[in-house]
Amino acid sequence: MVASAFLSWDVLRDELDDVLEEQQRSGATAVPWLIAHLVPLTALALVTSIRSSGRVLSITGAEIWVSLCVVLGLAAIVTWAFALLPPRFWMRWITRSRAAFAAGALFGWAAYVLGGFAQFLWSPIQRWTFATVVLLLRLTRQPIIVDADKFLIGTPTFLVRVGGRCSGLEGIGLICAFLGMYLWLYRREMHFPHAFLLLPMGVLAMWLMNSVRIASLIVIGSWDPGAGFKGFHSVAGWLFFNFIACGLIWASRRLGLFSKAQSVAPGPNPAAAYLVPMLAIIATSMITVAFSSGFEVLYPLRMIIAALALWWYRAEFASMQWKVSWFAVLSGVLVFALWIALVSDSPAADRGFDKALHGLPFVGAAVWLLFRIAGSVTTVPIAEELAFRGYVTRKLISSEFETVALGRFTWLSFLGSSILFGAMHSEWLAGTAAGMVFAAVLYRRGSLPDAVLAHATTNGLLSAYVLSLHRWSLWS
Amino acid sequence: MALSGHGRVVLLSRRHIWLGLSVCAIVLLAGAKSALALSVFGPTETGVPEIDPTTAVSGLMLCAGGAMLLLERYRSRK
Repeated sequence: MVASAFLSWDVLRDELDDVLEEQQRSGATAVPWLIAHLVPLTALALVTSIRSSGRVLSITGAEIWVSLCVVLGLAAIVTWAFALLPPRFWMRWITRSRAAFAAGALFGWAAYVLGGFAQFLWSPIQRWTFATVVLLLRLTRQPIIVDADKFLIGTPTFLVRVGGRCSGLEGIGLICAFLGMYLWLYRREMHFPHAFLLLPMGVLAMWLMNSVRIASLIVIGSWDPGAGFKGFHSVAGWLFFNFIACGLIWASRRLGLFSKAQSVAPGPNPAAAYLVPMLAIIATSMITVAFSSGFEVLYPLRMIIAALALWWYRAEFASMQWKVSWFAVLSGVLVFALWIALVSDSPAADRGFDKALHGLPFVGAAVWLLFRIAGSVTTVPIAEELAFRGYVTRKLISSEFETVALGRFTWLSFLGSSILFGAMHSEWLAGTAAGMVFAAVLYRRGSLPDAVLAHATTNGLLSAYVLSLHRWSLWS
Repeated sequence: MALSGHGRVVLLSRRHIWLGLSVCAIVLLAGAKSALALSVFGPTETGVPEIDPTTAVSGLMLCAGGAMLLLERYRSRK
């Protein structure tokens, strides 16, 4: 389905625009389909509660239960889809994109077959990765321990097993998917078949970088086992993946071998002011997590780097009208209430955070909290609103986003930007709802500062709530 | 078709009250801790640090954002 939607993107966009405009004109509501949706959904809730109540079912009973769940689940999905967009939209999209749907099914099947074939690759790639890690560690001239039969390698203080999952195959799959999408979306601007060279380049770079990652993990783990295992282990792969993915895009745009657009001189980048502050926050957080053992003691760096990025682009925001809007403040209060209602307790995480914070010296803890609160009410709302409401909402309307007025509404941009905003938060449902409210604040009078104010109000209230009730997990 | 600011908010509230209801139903389903809901909305710990959802989302967002930034820089403008 994802591949089909991706391949038929132009048709999907056309149909979405048509149907939503049509609905706006006619004022049609989705009430009948929503009522139809609530019926299978309620039945599904009742049926699935049988299992969660711990009752043991016979084999036949379990088969009936599973079949019933599947049927009700499908009915709930179909009626929900029809409530979201009318049946004629789905029919027109499918009819106009038959080839894309066939290709999507083929992709799905090929991915399944390739997935099975990849199982045979685990073992040889694991051996090559292990040998490369041994070689890299020997270059550091540290005393190392090697047990090739058990794939164990390390130093006297930190030993790791290079398992099949560490072979780098998942990263190789990810870079292939990323480059495949890039080559498809920008196919008109690329030189083929030369551009296909990017794929083996990406595969080789990912595999080599994975070996560098494991060797670095051992070096860092020998220095601080907590930072190595809890920090570096979890984010290093993503940092290297980003480095390779962005490096290959940059190379493909700079070299005439790959790109027709190479002759176009790079101009001023209108997206930089909107994207750099948020990217700076994400990149800094990944680097600080890599060097911390659980508790992100280097959090203040996030705020400092984001503040520097915002300061660098300050001229871009000079024309924005920063006025207090009560509608924005009230919307921020509403999102705070929504967040508290939707996000569940995590006492274990709260206790872990509490313990880590109390482990810091008093001044250190005070400074950390100060930066945490200041960051969540200043740099974070500004950076996230610039990226999601300032850039994504407009980019989903036109590729030349700077030509679109701030606050111009389309359904695709409203829903797309809100879902992406939700996906960025670990609480995706609450995040999506928050994104919708912040977008509504922006649409009211086309003012990005209004959305920032609403977001800052929410984060400020959340900070007060976290501090007063010690529900630290809400900050995770 | 462009709408006025007030019109947009009215339209959003009129349409989304129903979408909101649907979302609430899903939340209720998740809150009931049914087997299906748990499998969809339940604990997402994978045991593999790189596939921890928070880390993976940050990694993907950084990649998508970085790629967009580069592509905007080399975009030919009319």
